[in-house]
Amino acid sequence: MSAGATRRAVGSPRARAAAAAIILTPVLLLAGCHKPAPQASEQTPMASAQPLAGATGASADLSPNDPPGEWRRQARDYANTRFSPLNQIGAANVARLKIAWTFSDGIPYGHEAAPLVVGSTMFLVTPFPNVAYALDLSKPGIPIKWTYQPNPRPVAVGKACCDAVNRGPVYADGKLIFSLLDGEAVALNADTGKPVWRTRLGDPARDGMTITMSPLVVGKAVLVGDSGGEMGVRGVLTALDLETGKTLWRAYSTGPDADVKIGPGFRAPYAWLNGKDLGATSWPGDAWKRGGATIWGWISYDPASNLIYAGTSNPSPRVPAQRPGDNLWGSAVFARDPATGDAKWAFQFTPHDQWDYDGVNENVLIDGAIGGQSRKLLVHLDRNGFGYTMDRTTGQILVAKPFGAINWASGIDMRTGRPIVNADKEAKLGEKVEDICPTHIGSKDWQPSAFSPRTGLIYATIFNICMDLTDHKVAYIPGTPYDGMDLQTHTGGKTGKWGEFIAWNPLTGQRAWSIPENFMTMSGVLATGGDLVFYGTTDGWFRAVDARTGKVLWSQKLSSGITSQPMTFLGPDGRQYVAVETGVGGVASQVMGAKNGFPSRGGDLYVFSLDGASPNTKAAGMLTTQGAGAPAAHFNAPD
Amino acid sequence: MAARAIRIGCILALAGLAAACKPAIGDSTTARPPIALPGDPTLSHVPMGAPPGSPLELSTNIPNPYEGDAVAVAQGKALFSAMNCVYCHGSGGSGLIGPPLNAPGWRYGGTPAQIYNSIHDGRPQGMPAWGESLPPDQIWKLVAYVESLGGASPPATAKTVQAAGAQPSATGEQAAEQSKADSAHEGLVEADKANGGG
Repeated sequence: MSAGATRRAVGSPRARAAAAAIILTPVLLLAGCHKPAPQASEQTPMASAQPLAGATGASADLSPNDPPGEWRRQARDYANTRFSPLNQIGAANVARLKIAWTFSDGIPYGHEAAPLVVGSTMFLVTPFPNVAYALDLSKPGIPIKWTYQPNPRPVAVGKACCDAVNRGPVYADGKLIFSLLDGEAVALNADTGKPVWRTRLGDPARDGMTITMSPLVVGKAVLVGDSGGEMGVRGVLTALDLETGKTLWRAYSTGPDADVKIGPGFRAPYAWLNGKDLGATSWPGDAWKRGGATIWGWISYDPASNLIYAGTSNPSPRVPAQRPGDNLWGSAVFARDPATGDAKWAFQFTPHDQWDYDGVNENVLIDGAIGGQSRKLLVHLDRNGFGYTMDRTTGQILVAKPFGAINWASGIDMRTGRPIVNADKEAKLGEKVEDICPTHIGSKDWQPSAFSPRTGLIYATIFNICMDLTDHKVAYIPGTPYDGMDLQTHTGGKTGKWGEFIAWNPLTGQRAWSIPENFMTMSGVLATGGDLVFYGTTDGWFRAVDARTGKVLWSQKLSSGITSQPMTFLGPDGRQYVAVETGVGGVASQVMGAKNGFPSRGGDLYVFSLDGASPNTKAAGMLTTQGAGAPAAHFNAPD
Repeated sequence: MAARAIRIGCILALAGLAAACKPAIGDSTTARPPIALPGDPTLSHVPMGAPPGSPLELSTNIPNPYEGDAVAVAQGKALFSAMNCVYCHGSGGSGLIGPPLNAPGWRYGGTPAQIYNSIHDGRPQGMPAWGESLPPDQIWKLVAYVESLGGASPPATAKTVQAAGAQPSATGEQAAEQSKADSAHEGLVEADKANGGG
């Protein structure tokens, strides 16, 4: 193709984008003033959550229906779909994606968050020391509007099991809210970067408690969990008042019913989960007091039933021989009333978790027909390798099928919901048990999936990793690891591939398609109205894939590995951008860091657009200090 | 069996009775003459992280009182497990949450006295201050085990310090090696043993 032909091909869509910018500008200005969000139908000509031909028929409530160009919480919506209706970028033009601008935070810990975009501002929160940035998307070069240094204590770095990570902020009510590794929640005035409140929820120096999760705001409740399942920290979900940061309620994951907030309104989905004080009696003695079940993953919310859903971590210590019993409510999920914290139901995925499988992975709330009956569903790809599709009003399992290669259990008993455990793969004290699949971080860890209402499929990056495990008894010493698992990892199966990107039919429990990857895949996923899904690999490839067919349409190698969450937004210039942070770390570096070819750390935000265009520019690399098109003769001027 | 007895003794200590650990260790070493340990005033003048060859190393000229004592190394290894050191610093000191201990490039110095102080006082990025719960002889035994992993620096001798003072270039290669190791080491650790999330 000649240069002239290229220019013509590029020109036409650009003109359309410019026209879209004119139409959208008033809407974006409104959003920038934090006015109540108008209805989605008024927002944009591109809201496109309608199912395509051949879709599974599953749909989702995309509440709170934020302006389509924005991204106000890590999952974008309450249902945790990570679906954006934007469709300027689609299969026909995604190959034109180029870097528009980048931003480095200079921090070498694992990057696991998505940036937020509200109006014409982008917000970022870094890994420890959890610096918050507001960037002005309306100006050339995307300058920093404000920076906030919360100065968490460095002691937390040596208490966080899996790198000094942070899974990002949430925007609500004009505030930017996030957690600090050393155990605080912080709310900033999003316009000024000045703190509105800071609330301490724990002390890593005392007992090893840290916070890595992203809070969720529901009504006036800021919901914050905790980390430290490897330190014997007791899991607790705290609701803080959005205005003041004062505690509204706390609900523990272990202990007597009063602590767990199990009361008269609780309905156990299965008989074995019904009983008084199971959070204490399913443990030896008072082991529940240091029993883990921390809440470091994602929270979703169903406005129709007014329930929040949050998973719990592995029980502590990781050595099961020291805690006979089911160890409720570790490796489980709770449905709670966000106003009171009262539990409505709870379900334990992995009773007496012997492998560190946790239950923290995201719960995606969708609706769909199973057995000819329309159901309100919760989809959860657990670390234990089973993809669960549950009735989110009762906690009963409707579908439970392996989404990865597993051998620890042969299936799920559908009468009880309990796994059918393979005795050969049970952990043993002082004895090496070989080739347990999946490994401790599961077939998939916290990295969140996406759901497209247009295809009705769930998209996730998963692992193909197994372990040889030797358990040792361990003593509880506050602030030190309460662990005992000695393990070596290897790839499972014959392919030698450590990662895989899959499309999953949540109504049948079957894969639609998959893409094997040589290195672990541990990024979040973005699904768009342009029928694209985006994901990254730990060796630094960022890919766009056809959401229907799984065909890779675009790949870009970035500076470091990707363990963060891609997102998309509409700039003040009316263009659709796609953003992702590099900066490999976390458990990916713990598991694969020593492997040949694994990238070094980093901390760069990449923002892509068609042809690399950005504010005041027409194409990549056109920006000068004097604006687009101005001569740059004053740079390196010859004598 | 000796190691097992020590571990049980130390687990008792976890209940808050640090002293319970001391008799357990003492029992296993009663056949040997008492060892004189350096006092706190001496150790408190040990600088952190002085590079090899630096004149500052003069004040780290304190050998481990258990130098070359295989029994002490074994006891230190048992303590390394019983005190949960292993789940931060990795099996064999390979590093995980905390830095590796089996290679040069120490944030706070790798001579026996510097390692002793890091264990005794704790360090800012999460290392607990074990001086509050372990008696000095047990800390020196932990140091003996850590030295056995191969990454520690020898205590400076008057001779090497004098040579360094007279001929800085004589130790330049060693310092360069240390500097390289520092940059490879600083802060971040990759190891094929992992925790599960959170």
